[in-house]
Amino acid sequence: MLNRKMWLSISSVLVLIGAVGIVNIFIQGEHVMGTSNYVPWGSLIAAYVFFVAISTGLTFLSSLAHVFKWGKIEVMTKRLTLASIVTLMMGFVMIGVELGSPLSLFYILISPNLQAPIFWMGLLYGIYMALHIVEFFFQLKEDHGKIKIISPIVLVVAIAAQGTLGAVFGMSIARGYWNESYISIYFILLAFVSGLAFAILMTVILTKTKTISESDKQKILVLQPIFSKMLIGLLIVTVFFNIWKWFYSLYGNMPGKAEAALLMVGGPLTIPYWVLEVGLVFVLPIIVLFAFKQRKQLSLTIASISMLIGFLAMRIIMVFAGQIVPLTVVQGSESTNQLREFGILWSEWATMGFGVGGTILLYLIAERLFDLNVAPHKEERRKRVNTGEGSYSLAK
Amino acid sequence: MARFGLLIDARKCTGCHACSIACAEYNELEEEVNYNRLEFVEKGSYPHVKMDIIPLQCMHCDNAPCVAVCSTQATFKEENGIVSFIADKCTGCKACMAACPYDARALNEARLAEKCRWCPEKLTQGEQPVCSSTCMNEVRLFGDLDDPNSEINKKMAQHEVSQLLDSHGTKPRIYYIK
Repeated sequence: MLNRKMWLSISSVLVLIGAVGIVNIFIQGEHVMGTSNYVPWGSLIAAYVFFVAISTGLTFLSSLAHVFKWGKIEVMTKRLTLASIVTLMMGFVMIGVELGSPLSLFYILISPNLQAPIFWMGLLYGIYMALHIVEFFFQLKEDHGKIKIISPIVLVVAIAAQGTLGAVFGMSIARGYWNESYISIYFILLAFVSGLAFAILMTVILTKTKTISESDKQKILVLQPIFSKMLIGLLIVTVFFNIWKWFYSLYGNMPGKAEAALLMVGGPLTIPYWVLEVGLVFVLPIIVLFAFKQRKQLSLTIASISMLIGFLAMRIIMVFAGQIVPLTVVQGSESTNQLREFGILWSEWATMGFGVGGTILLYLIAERLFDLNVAPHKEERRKRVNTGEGSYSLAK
Repeated sequence: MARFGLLIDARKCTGCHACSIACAEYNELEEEVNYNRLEFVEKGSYPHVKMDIIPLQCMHCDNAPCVAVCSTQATFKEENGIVSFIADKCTGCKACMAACPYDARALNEARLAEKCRWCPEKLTQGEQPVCSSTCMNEVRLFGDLDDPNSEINKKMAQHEVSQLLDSHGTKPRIYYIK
């Protein structure tokens, strides 16, 4: 595994290149993006969904300790919360670059539109971020009394925010491919799987670093098979959702729905869908996790990286599939004869790279600044003293 | 308070694009920004063919999806029925563009989703919007739908009219003579 300096270098390069891309977008506008009047939402919307979903998924996992009292995961809770905050911040960067005039978000406070899913999404993610930081603060202070109060609230807000993000797409009556009621539930499910894939990658890296004690490494290793089983279980549920999505999309030839689905069977999204989405999110991880049980660390690394790349592709495919089939305003119109042009230009790739690099960089900086090792609870400490077990050591 | 609407007699449209050009000139629109467009529909088979030309623009819907999704109320419904837009309030999230089933919004250089406002300066002077006034065949007739004596109402009474995508529940303010 790469050492800390190498990670810092790679992430810094990604952030620097990304910054150039972001500046280019701010200077030149939509000309340097793959969007148009007909395909207004581009890859950065997808990247936003990708990052905030990981953040939500990581919150689900950390809440297993504080809300559902699953003690085994407690060893990772501070790091899960930190990673959740960092990915959320990168999600905000993605949407900030995608917005034409982010400073006008100020008007959300002055003249909010309570009907708009984006208003609720913005509000909920704002609250989520604020509460998450407060939660992290109390985690650092080991103030379990306050954590017990705030963690369930963070969890509820996270679920509500992710569900509302689904509604931003699902409530679009003009876009048949997105317009469905269960998309919010599907988003919450995908968030959980995304967070799990990210957490698995964290367990692999953490067990190879010197920042945590050997005893904590052993505790993290215990989590890996549990995470793997959770991952496979949730992937099966996701496959179930996808199969039904296909049936619903093709059955009845609903306007915009079937055409969008067929983009992935012979259309321009065929290879991205079957290779990057189906291949990397479902097929490769399941094969690797079952076939290479002896080489657990390697299989978990491959599966989690494969899924994270696949999830980004999945979000991009979903965003474009909903828009590149022309809207039929007038039946038989010539303008509906061909698909809308779309693409991802270098500035957008660079911005997404900023998100990846920024996540790693901020995490590494925070790892250095804060003590992320979890001190044992009072009862556990008492037990350790009674049994003569050694004091908790920090390997930093 | 007037309740504005537009009646379009697409049968008379020659496809000259004067409406689009007049609109672009009056509103000083940038390149690639267009509030008016024409849809061309080929009908029949050789030798019995014909081309329908349908002028399209913002429908100023009573139940406008772009108004519903706008988080800052940058896009809003005026009392007279016009779906208006305050650029300063727009975050550029483009949700209105994704939500509009008529593809009627256009992104300007400032990355804001601009739209037709039915030329409010003209309306206050009692004139038609420029797309209507410039049309040589009087394809478009703008007027007050609440005034029983308005030209638009008189003409609508003489013809069978329809709205585009009325099944979407958007309640558009533009009517087409069948």
